[in-house]
Amino acid sequence: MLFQNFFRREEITTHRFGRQRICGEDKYWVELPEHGEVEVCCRIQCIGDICPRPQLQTLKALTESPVDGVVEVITDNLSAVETIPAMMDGYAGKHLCTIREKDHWRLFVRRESTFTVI
Amino acid sequence: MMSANTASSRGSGQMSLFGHRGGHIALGLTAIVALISVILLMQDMRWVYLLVYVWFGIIYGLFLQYGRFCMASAIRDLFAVEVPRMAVGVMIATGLFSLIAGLVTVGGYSTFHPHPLGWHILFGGLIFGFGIIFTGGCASGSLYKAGEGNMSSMLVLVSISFSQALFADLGSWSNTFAPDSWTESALEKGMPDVLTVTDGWFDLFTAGYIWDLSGGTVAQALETGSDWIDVFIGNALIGAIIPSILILLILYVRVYRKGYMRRNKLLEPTMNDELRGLWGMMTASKNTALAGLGLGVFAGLHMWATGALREHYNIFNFGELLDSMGYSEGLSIQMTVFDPGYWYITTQEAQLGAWVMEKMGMDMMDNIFFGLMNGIPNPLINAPLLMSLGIIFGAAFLALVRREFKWKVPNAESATFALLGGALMGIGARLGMGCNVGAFFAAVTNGDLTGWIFLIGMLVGGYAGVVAFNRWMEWRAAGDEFDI
Repeated sequence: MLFQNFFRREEITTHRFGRQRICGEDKYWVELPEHGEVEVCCRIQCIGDICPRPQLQTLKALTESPVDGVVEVITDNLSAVETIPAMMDGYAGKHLCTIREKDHWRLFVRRESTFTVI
Repeated sequence: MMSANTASSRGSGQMSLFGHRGGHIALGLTAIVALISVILLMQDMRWVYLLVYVWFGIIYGLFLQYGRFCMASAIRDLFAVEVPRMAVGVMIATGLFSLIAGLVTVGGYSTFHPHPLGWHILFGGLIFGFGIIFTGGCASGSLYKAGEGNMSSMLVLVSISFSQALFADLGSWSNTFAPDSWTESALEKGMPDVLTVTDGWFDLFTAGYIWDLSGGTVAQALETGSDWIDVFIGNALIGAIIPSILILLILYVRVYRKGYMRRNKLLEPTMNDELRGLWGMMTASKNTALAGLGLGVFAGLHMWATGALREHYNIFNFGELLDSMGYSEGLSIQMTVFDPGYWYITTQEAQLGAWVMEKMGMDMMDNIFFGLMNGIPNPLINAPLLMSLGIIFGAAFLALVRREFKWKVPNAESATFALLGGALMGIGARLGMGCNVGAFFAAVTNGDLTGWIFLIGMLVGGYAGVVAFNRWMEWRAAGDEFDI
């Protein structure tokens, strides 16, 4: 358990400046409540980031994702956790679910065909 | 394949509110604050004046954290990602507070003083609005986020405190930036020599410019002879509720409606559809709306409680009470301290910065802001400052109970933004004579229209801040090989 936590923490370690979006190369599958297995095409690590960076990063990732592409946002910013789902209404994206981890949140959003490109 | 279900169940377990470590800490801290309050009252019942600030601060902190209530969030989310939920919450709070403030005013317990009208309000709002985009929180937002363990917000508070203190006590070098008319006007005021009112830009700004301006409330302009009509039609309806409704309508039409129509596949919406959409926007974030409601009600009650205590003790300012209790150190030359009697954020932080600088050997009382008006009391007996600490405590309490408390150490970028943005917020707050709470929220809800001017400044500054923040992000991303 200790090692699991250690590696998980390392996995989501943020960087001093930028380097927070990892897209395209490492697609992976996750099982989401009410949505089953979903392929994630992009992960954004926003641990420690202040608003509006997580929101803007999410929009940029969705803009550059294919239609139906799912983006995972990892953040510990509570405002972003609440704003990103609300943001999907305006941009015609789809908020799939928010998963609460011990000290951060994972949000899954999908680019719909009607998504408003920024 | 990674399973998100497992993570979900771990994070949102069905433990009771207080049946965990964070809950125990929250209860323990509350017991300590309650015990200190009781001890203070047993020592001298007059401490109740100070404790009213403390406990209302705690209530504000609870609501702010509950609704993530933040003016920076309202402006930033609107311009950056077109999410109006926080702006909606602020407008709801504004409308409600105006009604409660109206009752308090009619009851004769209002402690509010309108701000003088001038260009400084707009410029102050502009600088303040630009700063809050980079700090990630407004003055009150930074307090509640500090309570959540956000060290970046703590840096913002430090920066606001010292930037204000330094700005209010600018040295002789700054005199050249003040027009001669300010100097002449300041000299005519006949202020005591100890204040050196012609030395320092902020003193000249205050005595030579601000004091020559006038301000007032809508009620004072109406003067129909009926307090009820003046206050509720003038201050509340015209000064706060109608502008709030107009802003809500603009938010609906310009921001929310597009998504609402698309979601509900409405091509030719009826009036009922539009009303449902408007209601949907106002209730889209129940937490924010409830926080707005709670803040509006309690901000009014706070003003009433302080006003009632002033009447009870027959005082005009807390400084008189402190003096009678034997605490005269740090009082202004008028024997006053900063004592707004309602929700306020920035001036007490300036006092904290000035108090630290005084302890470091600097003379911070040779100016109008501290020496004549606000004093620099010991932080332990600075009632508004303890209200700010109460906000931090209230937010920490709820964050601990909700398992949302986390020490967050800022990275280099966030820390830099916190310090620079906080400094801009401090300067903007002093120029605009308050922050998003004192210069906007408390002002408009009491019929002082300068609050709307401050909001316009904040919106323009906020928009510029979002554009600048976007540019910064793009510039950083351009040099980042890991970014797409």
